[in-house]
Amino acid sequence: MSSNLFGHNTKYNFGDMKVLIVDDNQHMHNILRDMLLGMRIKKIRHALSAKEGMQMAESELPDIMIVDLLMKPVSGFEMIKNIRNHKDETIRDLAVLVLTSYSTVVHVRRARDSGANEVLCKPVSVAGLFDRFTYMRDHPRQFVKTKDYVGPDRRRSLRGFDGEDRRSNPSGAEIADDGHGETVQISPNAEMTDIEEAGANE
Amino acid sequence: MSDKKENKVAPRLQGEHAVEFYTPRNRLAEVIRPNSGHTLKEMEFAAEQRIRKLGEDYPELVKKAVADMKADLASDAPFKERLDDIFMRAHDLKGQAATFGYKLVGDVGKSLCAAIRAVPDLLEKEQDILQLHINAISWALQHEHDDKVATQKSELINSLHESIKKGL
Repeated sequence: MSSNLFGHNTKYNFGDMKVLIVDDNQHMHNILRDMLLGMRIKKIRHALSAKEGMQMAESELPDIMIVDLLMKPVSGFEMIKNIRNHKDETIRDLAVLVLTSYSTVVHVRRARDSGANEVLCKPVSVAGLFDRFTYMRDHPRQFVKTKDYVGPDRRRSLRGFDGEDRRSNPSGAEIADDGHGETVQISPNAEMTDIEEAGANE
Repeated sequence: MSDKKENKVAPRLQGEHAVEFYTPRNRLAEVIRPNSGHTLKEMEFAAEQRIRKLGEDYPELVKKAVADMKADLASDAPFKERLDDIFMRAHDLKGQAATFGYKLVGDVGKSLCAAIRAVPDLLEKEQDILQLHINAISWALQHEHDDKVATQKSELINSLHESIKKGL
């Protein structure tokens, strides 16, 4: 997985970032708050439930949301799906970082299929947050809208495409068949790279 | 061959197969500025000062979670609900344990979560296994940094796993 940690002497200024933490555990809020303050992030908002998180996402419009998966009565998975199906595109396109103790492939894949941009497994650390924030900044992903899924493109092939661009509008085209009768589809089990590595560490 | 290719008209996917791609605004690129601010090491140092203070509260948090789990176990609510509540408390403890240097507490929490997910029916029949895990969290907290009981500590997780195997 490409990471910015190798260049740990690189300076970053996160001071203008607005972060919304959605977790039903107050102590985890405190841990994250202290880590984010250490990263000189001052605009930190806290939501103790998915419902409150949705309301704050709409009213505060954070630059990124850090979401726990295991919450009651609405789980983090459901909350992310609600974000991705929001009628307001500024909410729908929000960057979502999942923070979870579940590092199995099944859970990471489910988080990805809910529409999370990235997954960070606990225990949380400043290095982990630093790495994910800068990775998301430097590797923005296209979004995909289908009947069943809205969110970042789940395919992560690092291999570029060198064929003919047959899209009518390359910057935001609909997808067509491949010209040979084969339909180009988004597989629910699309290629995973670093996500699978996260699960493999379990 | 290229002529043949050019003459083909690619049909668009429609209806329920329609797929739209778009590139959202990269707001993180607007607010995260490289080459200014602080290095990772500087950020870690600043955060560590704050978190060390927070870690002093962790033992109290564990004690409260253990008391809550015991109350869950004794309550009249349906077993599945009680089990879900115990799972969430153990899950939270496990997530924070490593951050504050309580590896053993985290390992016991992990064992409890795994048992709840893997053998819920067994736990309903043999609730002593749950009790054993909850007591083990208390013991782990008390002896986490006690080298005099290193052998018992290393055997704790195995003994918990054995208790589950025996029940199967």
